[in-house]
Amino acid sequence: MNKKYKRNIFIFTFIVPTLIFYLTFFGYPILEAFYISFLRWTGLSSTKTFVGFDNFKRLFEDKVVWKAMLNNVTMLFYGMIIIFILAMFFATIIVRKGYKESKFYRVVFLFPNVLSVVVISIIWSFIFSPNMGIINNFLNLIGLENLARTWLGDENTVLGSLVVTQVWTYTGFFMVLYMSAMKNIPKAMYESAQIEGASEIRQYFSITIPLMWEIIRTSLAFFVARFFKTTFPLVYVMTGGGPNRSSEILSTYMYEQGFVNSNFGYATTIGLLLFAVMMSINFILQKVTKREVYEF
Amino acid sequence: MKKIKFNDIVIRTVLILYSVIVIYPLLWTALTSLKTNQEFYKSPWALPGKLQWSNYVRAWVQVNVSIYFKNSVFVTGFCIVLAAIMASTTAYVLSRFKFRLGPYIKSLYVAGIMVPGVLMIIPTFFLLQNLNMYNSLFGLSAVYISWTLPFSVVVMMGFFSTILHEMEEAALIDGCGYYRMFLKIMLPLAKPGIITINIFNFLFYWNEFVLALTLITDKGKITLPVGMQTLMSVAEYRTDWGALFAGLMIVMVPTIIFYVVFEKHITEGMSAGAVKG
Repeated sequence: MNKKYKRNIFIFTFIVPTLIFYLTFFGYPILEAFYISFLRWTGLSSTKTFVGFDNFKRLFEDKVVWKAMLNNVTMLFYGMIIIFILAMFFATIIVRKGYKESKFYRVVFLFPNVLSVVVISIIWSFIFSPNMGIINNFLNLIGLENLARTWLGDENTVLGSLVVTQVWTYTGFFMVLYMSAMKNIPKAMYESAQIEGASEIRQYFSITIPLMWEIIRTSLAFFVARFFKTTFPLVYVMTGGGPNRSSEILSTYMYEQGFVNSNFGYATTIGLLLFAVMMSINFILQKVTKREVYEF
Repeated sequence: MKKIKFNDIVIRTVLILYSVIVIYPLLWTALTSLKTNQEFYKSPWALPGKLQWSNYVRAWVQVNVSIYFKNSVFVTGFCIVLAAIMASTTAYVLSRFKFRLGPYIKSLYVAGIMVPGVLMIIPTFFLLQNLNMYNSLFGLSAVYISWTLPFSVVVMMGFFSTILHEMEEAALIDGCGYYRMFLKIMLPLAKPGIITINIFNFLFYWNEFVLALTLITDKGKITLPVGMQTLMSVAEYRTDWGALFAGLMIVMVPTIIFYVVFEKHITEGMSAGAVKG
């Protein structure tokens, strides 16, 4: 009897306090989010009015929401593709060529990943600056002044510039991820393929990629999660959503609706939309990339 | 022979080129932090004349970077310790003890990993206000810890599950109590796991922006990332670029040191994740 009692007390003390803490600060806000989205509310308890699905209707009619969603998807799409290609490219050459200075590349390429997004955003804001920035100055130097732009102030180039910053920040992370996946593939596989006369390219597409496929799929999910989390500081600091909402994304619009316009009910609804978009993208990606898993 | 050499040269050039692209912005920040404001306007390429260490002093004192730094250090340190304790205790019991509610509690933590924080910012804002924890570094810490719990618990569960069950049985037979066994045996064995979660948690607490922005508005309590963003919007009017860049360097230096010390662990942690899929 005593033994069981002692065991239960132990389990209780190790689980319950943390659980209560977790449910209070993490679980409860999630549930509240659903509730708040049905309200029109400026934050004062006197103005809480239940408006049913009004906020959701407003979502559909709000042009900014559609623009923001489009921006989200565009940045995500281009960012993901460019980072994937670059990361796979670098991972492949570094692993295959086995250069002595590989460790250097790994350390350097991964570094931006640990910096604060805010710091990176500030630095790149200056790099893109039309007058004092490195990019325009460089273009002037090599005689391509006509290519110089107000990168962050021009509707046509702002999204691209933001994607550049993202690529700079995250390529290293995915490169290192793919590198470890590649290193995990036993050399024997390549050796026997080589004996059978398969070219390097053939080996790559028939051995390396299929055996890495699960990691690639997981990395896509990582990327989506990372993306939705870090684009807020990026856009907030670098462009504030401008010019003319051309770089507005769902999270910054949600923030504005909530903390600038005090439309907390509507803002939360935007947050829910963001969540739904993220889940849908994840779902689609996972479905589209489904393949038979190879065991080795 | 010649063909291979050419190949190598091209590839190495590409790699070096990208390395430059990665390093240059950081180098530029470091150099600019030592320029005077006039030098800054003249040309972004020029090297500073006399090294303006005064920029750092101004950043630290006048623009309050020392306060932001202190706040970030407090929050980060506090959260790392508490998160490690909470995650390891929870993970230990969840992974090695069978009890009725176990699987349900486990899924609560696992599900937490999928939730994008952005969704919860507004409710969290009101929650802290109701709890009178708004504009409090403790309040911010509480939210920070709970946001990192899912991932930390799951990782620790993975590490604890690799320890042989015989360990526990032997210790229990010897008359060792549960708590002592956890402290003296399990924790030391799970040290790699704790290092892993501490690394990821440090990066989260030190660099986090959105929550810090919304939950703390008291000038004396804001953390480094928010402080830097404030500096940038204020610098636009005061145009003290030197102090801004010096401030950026002050934020980056701990991260650089951290990275240099722990890079191997970070990469290993990522590889472990890759292997386990």
